[in-house]
Amino acid sequence: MGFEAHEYSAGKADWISAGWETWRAPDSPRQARDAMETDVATCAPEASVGQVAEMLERSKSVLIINSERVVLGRIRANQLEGAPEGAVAESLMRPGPVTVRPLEPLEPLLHRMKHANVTEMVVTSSEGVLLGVVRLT
Amino acid sequence: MSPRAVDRHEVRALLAQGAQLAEVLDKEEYDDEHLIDAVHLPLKALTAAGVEASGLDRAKPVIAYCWDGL
Repeated sequence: MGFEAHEYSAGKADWISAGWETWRAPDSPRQARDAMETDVATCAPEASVGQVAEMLERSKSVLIINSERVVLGRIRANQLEGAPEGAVAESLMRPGPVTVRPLEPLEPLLHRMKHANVTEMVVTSSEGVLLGVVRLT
Repeated sequence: MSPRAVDRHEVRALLAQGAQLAEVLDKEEYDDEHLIDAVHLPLKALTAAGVEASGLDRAKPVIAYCWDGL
């Protein structure tokens, strides 16, 4: 038909899952991306216990992310107890926290979180890049 | 010649150079959400007449997309 044609084969789901902007109808069903907050405490894998402890004074948990903002793990205050001298975040973290994608339907997610007593759910792209967290208020 | 497959980073780069987006899903899905400035061009309308009616500019590249696989 005379066009230079390209095929974005990963499609709309890929674009949305990356957290990239789209046009949405105002009455579109709510998803995790609509409720997520971006003020998330994060640190590098090599952050010291002291640095993590300081962050935990202001936040219930700290997410460990690499240089590409891929989520590697999470640390809560009780995981610092008895930490050896010179320990770094990567050695103390609980690796691979449960995450959801931005497209996750919100109401069922909130219901599951409440049922499981989970107050904060990490939202990542399909490549594991941190986008935000959904918090139960 | 078959369309060239591109990832989302390439899509962004092409858009910056003036490429156009065409969503091939049905109207309900397009109306609910689409990539910004994408036109609606369902698969069944992929004819010369359908493309003409879509308003796409033949002088600019077109990037077609579906939900998660074309």
